[in-house]
Amino acid sequence: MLFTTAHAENATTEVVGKSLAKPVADANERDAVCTRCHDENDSKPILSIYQTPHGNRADARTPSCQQCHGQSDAHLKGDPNQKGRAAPDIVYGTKTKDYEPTLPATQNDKCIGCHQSGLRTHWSGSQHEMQGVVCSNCHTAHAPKDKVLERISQPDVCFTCHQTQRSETHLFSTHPILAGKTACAECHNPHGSTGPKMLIKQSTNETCYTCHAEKRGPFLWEHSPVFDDCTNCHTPHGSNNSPLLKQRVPWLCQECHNADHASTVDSGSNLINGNVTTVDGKQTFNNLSPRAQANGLACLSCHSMIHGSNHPAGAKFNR
Amino acid sequence: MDNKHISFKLRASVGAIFATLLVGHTAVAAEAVKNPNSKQAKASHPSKRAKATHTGKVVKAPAAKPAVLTTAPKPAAALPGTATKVAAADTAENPELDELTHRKSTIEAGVLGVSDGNWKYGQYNGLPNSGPYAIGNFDINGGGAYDSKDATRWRLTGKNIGLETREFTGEYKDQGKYKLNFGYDEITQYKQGTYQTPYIGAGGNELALPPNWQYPTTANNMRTLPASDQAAFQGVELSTKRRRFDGGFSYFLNNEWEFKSSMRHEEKNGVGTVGAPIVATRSVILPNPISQSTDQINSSLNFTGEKAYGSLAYYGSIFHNDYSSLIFQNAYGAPSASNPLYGQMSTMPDNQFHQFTVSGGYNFSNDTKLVGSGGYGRNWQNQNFLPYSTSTMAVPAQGSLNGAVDFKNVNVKLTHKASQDLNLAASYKYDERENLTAVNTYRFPDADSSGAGTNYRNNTPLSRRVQTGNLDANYTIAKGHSLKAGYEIQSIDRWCNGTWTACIDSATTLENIGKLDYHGKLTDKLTTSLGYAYSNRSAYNYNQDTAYLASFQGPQTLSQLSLYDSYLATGIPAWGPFLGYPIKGMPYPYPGVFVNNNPVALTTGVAPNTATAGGLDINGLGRFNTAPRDRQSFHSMLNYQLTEKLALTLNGDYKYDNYYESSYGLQSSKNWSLNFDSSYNFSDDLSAHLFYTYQDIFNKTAGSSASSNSNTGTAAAGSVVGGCVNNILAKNDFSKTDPCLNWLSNMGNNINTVGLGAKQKGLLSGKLDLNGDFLLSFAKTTTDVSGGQYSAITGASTTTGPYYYIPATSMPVVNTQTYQFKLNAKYNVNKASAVNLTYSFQHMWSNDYTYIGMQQYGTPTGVMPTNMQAPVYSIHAVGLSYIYNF
Repeated sequence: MLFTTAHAENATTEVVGKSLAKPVADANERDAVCTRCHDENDSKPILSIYQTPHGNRADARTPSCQQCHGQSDAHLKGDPNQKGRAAPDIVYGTKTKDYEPTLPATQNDKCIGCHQSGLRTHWSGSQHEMQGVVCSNCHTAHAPKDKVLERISQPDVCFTCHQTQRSETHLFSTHPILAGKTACAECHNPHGSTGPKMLIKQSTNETCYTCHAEKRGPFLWEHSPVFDDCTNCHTPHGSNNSPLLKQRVPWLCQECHNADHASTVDSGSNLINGNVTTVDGKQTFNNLSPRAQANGLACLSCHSMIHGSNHPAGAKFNR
Repeated sequence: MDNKHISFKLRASVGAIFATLLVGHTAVAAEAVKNPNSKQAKASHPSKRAKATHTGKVVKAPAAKPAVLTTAPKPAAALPGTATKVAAADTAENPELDELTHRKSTIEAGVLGVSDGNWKYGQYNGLPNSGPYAIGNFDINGGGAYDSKDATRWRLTGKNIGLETREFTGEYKDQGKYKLNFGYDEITQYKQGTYQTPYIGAGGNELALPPNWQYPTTANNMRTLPASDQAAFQGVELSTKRRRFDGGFSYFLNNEWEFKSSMRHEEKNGVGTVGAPIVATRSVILPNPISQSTDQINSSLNFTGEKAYGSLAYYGSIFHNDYSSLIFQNAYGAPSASNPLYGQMSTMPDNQFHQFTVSGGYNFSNDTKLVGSGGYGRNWQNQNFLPYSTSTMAVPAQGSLNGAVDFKNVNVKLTHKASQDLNLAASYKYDERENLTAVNTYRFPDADSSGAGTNYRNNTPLSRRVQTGNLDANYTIAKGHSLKAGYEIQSIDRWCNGTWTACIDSATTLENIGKLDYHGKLTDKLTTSLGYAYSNRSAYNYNQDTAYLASFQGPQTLSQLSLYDSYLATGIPAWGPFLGYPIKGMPYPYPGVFVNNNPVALTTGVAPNTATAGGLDINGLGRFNTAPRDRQSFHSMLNYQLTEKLALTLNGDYKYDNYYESSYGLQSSKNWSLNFDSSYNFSDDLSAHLFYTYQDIFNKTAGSSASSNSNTGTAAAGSVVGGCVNNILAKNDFSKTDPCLNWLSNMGNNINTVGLGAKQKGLLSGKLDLNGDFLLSFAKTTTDVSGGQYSAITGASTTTGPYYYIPATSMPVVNTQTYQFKLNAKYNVNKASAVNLTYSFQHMWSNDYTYIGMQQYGTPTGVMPTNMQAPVYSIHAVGLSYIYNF
């Protein structure tokens, strides 16, 4: 959702239904089946789940250990003094030390069973779901602070798989992702969406307008590739070409514009102190270097209203 | 402060799962992302852990037989006498249990010193200047204990409160019933620290030159500014500050229905830059005042049942700009009939967007699920027009745009698990943006040039409809091995309501996409995935001139005004009637229509500048977003858990786009990357990681420097090396067909990123935690250009003199090199107190000519210098803070 730093707020409040009777006392009794062994000395801090909404026993919807991990009879009946205790019915994760992880669909169904609405509406059939991603690849349900729900640490979770994007965030021109001011989930919904690239809105542009509403228009003079898709010119995770451009101008503009003064070749021969050499040898030329279109802001020195202009004289995006 | 008292009152709290960050640059930041209890839990009984696991802790009472739940599996009976039932009394007696089950509150305060100031270093981190900064963070939790009957929780957080990146949040909830929250967040973005301008009034929207301003000694040539003007250039800091105010509310009507609403007010203030031309190609880079606000609201009514769930939602976004124009004085020449005293830029107009969405899903069974959504929205913009120019002061008859855009979308997705091994998914998406804005003709002077104006253009309100169908199948070949195949078809219609001809190069593009992925667990330690996708996009009746025709540049001289009048008389001012073609439905390929208002034959031998021209001006230009395209992409991944301690990951991505029908414009683009990651856990307390990424982005763009053929006769084409002409007359004869004017640019972006980090916990008897990271990023942009252009030698006749062909050369390489080192040492004095020491060093070197190309005497002749410098810095920062936990 829009106004959360990640999915944090919605992650819990969207759980509705499934009321359980006698919440507090019974809940502790139920959990004791597991916590008798998985106590404070467990190698994993299992009990810290009581710091999370999943451990709020006064909320009747709060699940017991076995509601998530299954009844796990074989596991419970095993001899704790012997090695080789059977696995719980549901083992979360994809890399587990002791037990074979449960099938992704089974793992995810357990979570989606309660969290299927809201941000998870489009989980079924989403890219992550179809790629076998499980909830616990990103979420740590027992931790008091789930990394993926923290604005500053969320990118680290995503970068575990999206490593090229990690590299791009260190480039010259970026969004404030590493500064903890733009979390991945402010643009993407990793649980699936109706937009491209799992964006939070129906289209790329609608997603960008959540922070850049001034570019929404409609303008008197619309620039075709701009209204079409912001990523025609911009790359959102980082670029060596400011501001977040896929190519440097003027060549970016010349991908489409090849007439009038946009047609001229811009090269090192145009730059001051550059090698202005003809095929017949060096010459001194009239005001040839540097061309405005290749230097500084290049085309944008004049066509600065490139996202659209509402000036009646702005057809060329220069007003 | 009474520590015990606070502890008693607050330790009963269980914080919400969505935590806050206590720090950006300081210690709690690192702490926030890990489990604060894990160390204590593991380290508290390192020697007796096995024993404890077997015997359990001393507990108040054996666990009773668990209750049987209707929605949960029936648990087995607990083994008597050994169960640990976690309850309040236990935690009071057992500090380790308390540590695990009760969330801590934290306050951090300290000081951070920065060795030097640089806008780029401080671009987003709130540390733009040298000197001391206050470290301040807090995260305070309250509410009922987890095992009490009190479901309320509250939380207050503050982060970076001494910096310009500060944020505060507050939340109060009765979990399962309602929640209230608020937030404040700000960030200052530094855009440039070395920008200079002679304009007075930066920060406002009326910019004047100093009274003693002298115009360039050579007309319109900013390299010839008098020395007296150079002193007038003053530094202006370019930065913008965003401040967000959030409020939210959610309420559970019952177990199935929930109402949620949230609002955000965001302000953006500061100064940026904007290029502002005045009369043709003369520009100044102005300090652009920014004072904007955006209000957004999200409200939804959500339903969740056993099988069905859904939501009815509203989203509104209202943008307001305090400035509607930016007026600036002409710096190039004294006012005259052709040279206005002032120019005026527009700004981003106020706009609104309102949208209603219905979404939901139904689970026919565990194996078959249907999800769908539909939305309708409208976007308005009706800000008053500015005058055409400051000299004519005329306002278009329409007064304002009265612009409106409708948004409609429908999405349906069906997933079905056909068998244990086969999953199927089918989806359809419809997304439309229909621009309802009226088309009108606007006659205007260019860039505030004086006079009534001789440009005639129609606005082209762009509309777009995207329809996407998708089929996916995921088949498990064998245990640990799966194959996924997918097919997608996407059609995009683009059009303009009310234009006399199509306003887009291709009214419809159709793309077919095939995908194949394999995912396999080759061994217990080795997993891999491979994927390939191919797509072809076709563009029906692609014509590069239609967009220009629809937004049409009219007659260029006053003598042609009668033609404009005739256009107005027919109601269709465009080239069509001018050239004798029908008003609508002009046949492809619109012969006789040219850019530059200069009908010239492409074929050698046909007299130029005649109305009998037989070809298109820029035949072969393909605008990449609508041009036919082949796309291939490949990805691979290898995960190798070499030992329990060592994990390796290698993956690669490759994507290649080929615009196979485009002779000019973007020809192809390629983007491939290689990533290597490894981590090694030396022990429970010591770990290290290393990663490397190489990325190569390559774009090939073609063009032709051909322009108008200005010579109406023919002249012998002398030849120089390479077969190019050597005199102006010949050049002008064959400008449109001269192969020497074709050019090609190959732009490459090569990026190397290396990261190395290590964490050591528990030094000095478990009290000292160390964390170090090193990062290196080398990015290089190369622009290699082939082809060339002609130029006359100084002093030669510009009509009959010799012409020289100048081969293109590569542009300067743009390098950005960044090194970064961070070290964090946290000393835990006791459970309540810790001292945190941070050190960081960051170095950047850039030679980006976006900045350094703007020096006095070095700018393009038609652009005022800004004296901006590319960022180069080496900055140390040291911070010391005290952390109090309770």
